[in-house]
Amino acid sequence: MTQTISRLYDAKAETMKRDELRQLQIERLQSTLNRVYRNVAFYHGAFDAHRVNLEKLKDLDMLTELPFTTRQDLAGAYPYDMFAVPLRDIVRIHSTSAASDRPIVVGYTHNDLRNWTDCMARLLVAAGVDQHDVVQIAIDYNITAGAFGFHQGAQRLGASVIPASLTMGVERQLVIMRDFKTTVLVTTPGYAISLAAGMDHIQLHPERLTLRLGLFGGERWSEELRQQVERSLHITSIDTYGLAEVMGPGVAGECHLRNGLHINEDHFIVEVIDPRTLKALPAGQEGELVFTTITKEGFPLIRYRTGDVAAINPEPCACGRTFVRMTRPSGRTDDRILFGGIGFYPSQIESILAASEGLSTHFQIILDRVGGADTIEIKVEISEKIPGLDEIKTLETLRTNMMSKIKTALGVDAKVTFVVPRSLRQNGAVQRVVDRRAT
Amino acid sequence: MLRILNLDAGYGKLRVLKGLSLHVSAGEAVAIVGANGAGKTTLLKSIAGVLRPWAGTISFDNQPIQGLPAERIVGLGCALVPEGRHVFPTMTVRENLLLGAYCRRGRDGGAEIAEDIKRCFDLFPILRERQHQLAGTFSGGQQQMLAIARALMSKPRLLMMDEPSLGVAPLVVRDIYRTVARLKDQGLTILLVEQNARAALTVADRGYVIETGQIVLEGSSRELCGNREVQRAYLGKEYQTIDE
Repeated sequence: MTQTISRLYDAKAETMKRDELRQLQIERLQSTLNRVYRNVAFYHGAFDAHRVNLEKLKDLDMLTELPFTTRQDLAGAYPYDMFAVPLRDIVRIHSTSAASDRPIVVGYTHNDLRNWTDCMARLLVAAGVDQHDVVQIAIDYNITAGAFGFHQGAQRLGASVIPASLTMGVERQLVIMRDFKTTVLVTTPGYAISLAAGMDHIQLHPERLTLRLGLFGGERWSEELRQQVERSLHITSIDTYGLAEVMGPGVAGECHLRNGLHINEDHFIVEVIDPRTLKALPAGQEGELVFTTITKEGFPLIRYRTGDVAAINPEPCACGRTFVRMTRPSGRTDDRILFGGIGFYPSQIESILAASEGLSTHFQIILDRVGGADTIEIKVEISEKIPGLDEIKTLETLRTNMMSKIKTALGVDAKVTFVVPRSLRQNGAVQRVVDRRAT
Repeated sequence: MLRILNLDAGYGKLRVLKGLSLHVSAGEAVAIVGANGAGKTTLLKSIAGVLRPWAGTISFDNQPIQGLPAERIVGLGCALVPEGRHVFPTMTVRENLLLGAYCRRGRDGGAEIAEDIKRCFDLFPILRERQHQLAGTFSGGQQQMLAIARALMSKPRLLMMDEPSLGVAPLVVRDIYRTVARLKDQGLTILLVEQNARAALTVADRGYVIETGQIVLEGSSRELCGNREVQRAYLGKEYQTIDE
């Protein structure tokens, strides 16, 4: 039995009795609500419009009386309107990747960074990482939060952190993994598959690596893909969950028992709602995850609709943690696409197309996995009206133009293919997204 | 140990506390920081039973105590050092201390009480020197020490202090806070209300910031000290650069 008790980074918080946790959540929720009402114009207006009387909010189940916050609300607050503290108190700024749509800009105070680092350290300890590990972070270090969260947490534990990022190729990444004796890999499931394919290519057998553990996030993945990753890299995989708006990675993560992701409930209150009726769903039922941050100072969020679909399991876990667990997200309530750890919407492609002359806005996004690497192809119907259409040079210019525009706006290397007008339509409608990645 | 949920309290028609929730765990020192009139004293008075709360629950060791008379609450192990000391000026130090043990009458023998008086004298040697003097002749700092010692005579498990640094010379404030830290090290649970946020947060483990009867910030002392808003409003940092 002692073997099933995993190590804890913050035993006091992670094994807190539920009634103590409830008291703490109420206190923190009330103080957060008082702060956002005073400091964030959006919430002041939203609470007034919904006739919310904060003084009457006495229990956690009364959270349902508060309005939701949506992605559109956050995009509309671009860049700083949702910040609850003056900019000079903000010490870090991250942003979601999408540039053609207005991105969501998230600010962190000193305390926010510390709490984030704590959450990440908890998650890493729960996964089994310690100071003896060499942690290779194969996530792009850029304006999005992902790599930095893992980096800070691993550093806090005293592990040896390699900020490998993604700028170097797969082979160089593998050489580092072999020569630096990496024991823990942090990346997206898709990139793990690329690494596995790369190992085949340079004939590097997993036995020659010291890798034992992988932490994954940033993409949805299936059980099959997970097993494939574990098999091909000879590792145990740990799933993590987070989103930049709420904090970044570290919102939830699996313990070593790998039976659901523990949510850091002393920092976040989770709800599951029916995305159509917006009503709360009972525990165990799948629905849209909604998060309220209760410790964040810079960018607090009240009832933020994530768009991620999952269920909550309130049963106590054998690891000893008292935080509820969420299932691995099974899908989205909208058409958001996750590719290589970057999230974007088909509508963003559409707006790029709409701004380009000679192209129609009929397109299809094809996601596939070729030789272990994830690929994205965008098939676009060309417009019949464009002059000089039959000239290959014109088309080629248009195509490279499109590819660079997509790269700039979304940060993904998409292959663009032109097809003849009306060829994409089946029964009059275009299927916008075809996802053939291993499921 | 102490758990407060959605407390409403006030005077006459004036609502001072507006749905306030907080907790103090055993062995912890917790500071309540806030400006004048924010509701800090009202909060302590409500817990101590001096003021009857309008709504909400206050539980001490999982037992509701809201609305109980003050002497019962002291008997349960929850003592208040009131703002402005309120020592009995025409009584000697020893007499003041004996009154502090009033709730123990018939329960503890004289030997035990004498032992506790000795302990108080060890804590504040100045009181031993002046044990036969009238409390009214004391300086502010000495009266504060006496008030703390008097509260300790009820053998509390939770000690609540209202502005212990108010009207006390800065050097003596340091002495008082050293004693508070010592009491905490001995395992006493402490709830401290202060305008002197810097002093309070140095001994406290956690703190709450209270504004117009509501909690606006909760966190470890380290977090609160690191919060720029707290620094500007309560710690007096950057006072030259505030231009907003």
